[in-house]
Amino acid sequence: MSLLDVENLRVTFPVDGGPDVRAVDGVDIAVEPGEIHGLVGESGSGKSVTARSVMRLLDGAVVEADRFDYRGEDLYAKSEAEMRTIRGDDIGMVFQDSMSALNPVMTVGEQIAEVVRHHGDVDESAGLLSELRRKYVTGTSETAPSWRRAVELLETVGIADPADVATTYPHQLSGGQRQRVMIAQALGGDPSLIIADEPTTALDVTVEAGILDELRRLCDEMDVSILLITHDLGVVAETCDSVTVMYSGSVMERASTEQLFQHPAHPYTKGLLRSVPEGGATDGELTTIPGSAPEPTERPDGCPFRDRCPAAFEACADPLPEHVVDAGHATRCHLYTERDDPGEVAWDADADIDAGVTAVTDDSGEPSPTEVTDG
Amino acid sequence: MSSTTDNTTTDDDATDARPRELLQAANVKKHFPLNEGLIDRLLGDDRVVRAVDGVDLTVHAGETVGIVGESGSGKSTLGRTLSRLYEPTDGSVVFDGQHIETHSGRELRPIRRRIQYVFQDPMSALNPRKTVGQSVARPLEVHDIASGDEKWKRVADLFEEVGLGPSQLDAYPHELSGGQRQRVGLCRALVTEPDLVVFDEPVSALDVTLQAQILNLINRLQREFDLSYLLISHNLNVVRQVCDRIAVMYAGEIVERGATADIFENPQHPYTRSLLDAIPQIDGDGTRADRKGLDGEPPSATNPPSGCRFHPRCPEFIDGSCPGQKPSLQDVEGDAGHEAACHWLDRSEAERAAHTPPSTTEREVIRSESADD
Repeated sequence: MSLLDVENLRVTFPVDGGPDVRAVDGVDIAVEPGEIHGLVGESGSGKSVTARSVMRLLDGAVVEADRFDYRGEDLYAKSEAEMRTIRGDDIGMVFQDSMSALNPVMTVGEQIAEVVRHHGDVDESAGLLSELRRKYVTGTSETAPSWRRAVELLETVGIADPADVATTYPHQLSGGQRQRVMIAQALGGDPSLIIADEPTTALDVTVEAGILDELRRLCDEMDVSILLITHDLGVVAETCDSVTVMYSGSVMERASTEQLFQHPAHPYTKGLLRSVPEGGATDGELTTIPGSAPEPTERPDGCPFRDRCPAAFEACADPLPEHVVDAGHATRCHLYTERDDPGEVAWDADADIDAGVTAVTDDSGEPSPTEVTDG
Repeated sequence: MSSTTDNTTTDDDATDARPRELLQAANVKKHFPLNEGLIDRLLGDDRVVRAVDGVDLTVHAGETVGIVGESGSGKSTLGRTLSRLYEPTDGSVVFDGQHIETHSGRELRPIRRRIQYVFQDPMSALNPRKTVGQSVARPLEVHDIASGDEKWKRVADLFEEVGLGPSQLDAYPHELSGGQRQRVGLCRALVTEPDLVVFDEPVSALDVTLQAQILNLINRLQREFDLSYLLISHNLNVVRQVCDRIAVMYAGEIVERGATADIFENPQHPYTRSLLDAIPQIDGDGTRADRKGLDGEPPSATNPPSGCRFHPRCPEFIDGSCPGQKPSLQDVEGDAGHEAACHWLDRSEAERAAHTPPSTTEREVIRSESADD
C-alpha cells in the first residue's frame, strides 16, 4: 500500500470579481514507503500547492479529490484536531526559506524541543501553561528529555557541536545549518513522511550537496519517505527514486528516476531535459521550449502544453489520456494513445524568438511526428 | 571615442590578431567599513569587510568573461566596482584606454552609456509605475541619444529584437512574466549601444526552460551588436554555456582563471575542483553520482584566514605553507592563459587521491605553528 495515495486532486482558489483559479487540475500522486519521490515543474505548475494540500495548509482554497489517503485513511475526513497531530507526528515539512520559517527570537534548540514535546516520544507536559512558562520565563531546561532529544536530532542531521548550536538563534547560523535545523525539527515527531519544498534552492551548490546527502541518508537509514518538491532536474537525478513531472496544474509524466532520464516519453519532459545547460558543447545553442506556461485562467482545453508543443495535433484538444509506457512509467500524451508511433520531437533551438508560435523545424534529420504518420 | 577604437580588429581576422583590451582591472579592492558611525570611528573601530581584495582581470573586446563563486565570494561587488557603480578602495580600472577608477559624476556619464548592467531581479530593477517602454526609453533621453519618434522607433526595434511584441511597450512590469521582464532588462541595457554589458545572475530567478531562452538570446545579441560581456553567476553550467574565459572567486580573490574548457576539463585549484564536483549531474543512467560537498562555510570577509584563504576548508590541505604564505596566481603548464593560486599545483592525481586532509583542530595546530616561525 502506498504511504500517500492521491487521485484526481483538484485545487481551486476563488478570486473576488474574477474567474476562479484552478491551480491543480486532476493530479495523481503516490509516495511509496521508504522512497524519495520528486515532484518537478516550473513555477506556477502547481507543485507546491499539491504538496501543501497534503498538510491541509491551503486556507481559502477548495480542495477536491477522488481519493486522498495517507496510510489508507482519508486525510480530508479528519477533524482539525486530528490533523494537528498528523502534522508533525506523521508528516513533517521542510520549507525553502529557513529564515522565515524559523522563529527569530527563539533558540533553535527551543524550537526543536517544542516539536518534540508536542509530537515526539517524551514524557513532558506540553500544556499551555507549562509551554508559556518555558517560552517566557524559564526556557527548556538543558536536562529535560525534550532538550536532550533536540540535541540528538541536531547531531543526526550532521551539525557539528550540536549542544552549542542548540543554544544559538537562527540568524547566527549559516543557510546550510538553518536548513539542517529545519530538517531536525521536521524529524522531531518521528514522521513517516517529510515534505520538502525546494529545500536547497536558496543554497550554494557546495552546501546543497551536503543537504541532499542528508535527506538521502535519512530516507535509507531512518525509514522516512520524502516528497521532494523542486524545479531542478539535477537535484532529482541525484536524490529521487521516482518522479512526477507537473506542468500547469497537470501531471505530464510519472516514472522511476532512471526511466525518466533514460527514456523520457512526454514532449515536455524531453524539452525540459534538453534545456538544462550542461557540459559538453560550449558553443552550441540550448534547446528551448518556445513561449511560457499559460496562466491558470487561460489554459487551453485538453493538454495544457499543446500551445508550446512542436508535436501538437488535433487530438491534443481532447481531455488528457493516460498511457502506460512501461511498468511504473506512465505519461499523459495523446501521441501515445492516438498514434502507432509517437516519433521523435524536434525542438528548434531558435524557437525562442517566435514566442508562442508552434514551430516544427527539423534540422537534426529526425522525422518530425507529423511526417511519421503522413508517410 | 578614443583613438584605440579605430584599430579594432574585425571579427573575421580575429583569430591571430590579439583582440583589444576593453576593460583592465589591476589590484582592485573594495572594502566596506563595518561601522560608519562617528563614535565607532572615534573609538578606533576601523574594521572593514574585504568584499574584493586585490583582483586583476581583463575583458577583451568581443569576449565573455565569467565570474563564479559561492555567495559572499565578492563576485557581485567586483562586477559593480568594475562598472563603477561602486568606487574602488584601491587599484586601477582602465576602460578603453581611460582610467576610470576615480571618475565621479559628470566624468562617469559617457562611461555609464558604454558600460551597462543587467540585474538579477528585473522586477526590482524596473520602475513599477512606468511602462516598460518608458523605462527602456529613459536612457536615450538621459544620454541625449535620441528623442521623439526616433526614440520610440529605437525602443520598438529593440523590443522586436529580443522577442517582445509592440503591444508590450505599454505594459507595466507586473503585467509581464519573469522571462519577458528579463528581456526588458536586456533592452534597457542595450538601448544605449554599450560596449560592455555586466550581467549579475541574469537567469537565476528564471525557470529552466526560460533560462535556456534567455541564454540563447544573450549569445545572439552579442554576435549581432558586437558586445563584450562580464557575466556573474553561481551556476557553473550557465557560465560554461556562454563564457569564453572564467575567473573563480573565493573570499574576495581570484583563485583560478583560464579558458572555459581548461577550467572544466583541467581544474587546478582545489576549490575549483570542489565546485565542479558539487554540480548536480543529470547524465541520467539512474545511478547516483557520488557528489561531494564542501565542509564548513565561506570565511569571514572581515577577518579572512591567513595565507591561502581556502585553507580551513581545503580537502587537499598539505602543511604549514597553506596557512603560512599567500599563494599567487601561477601559470598552469600546457594551458595558455590558465592560472591558479595554490602552493601545490604540481601534484599528481594519485598523490591527491591518497591524501587524507587534516581535521579542523589539526589544521589549527599547523596554522599556529606556522605563524610562530
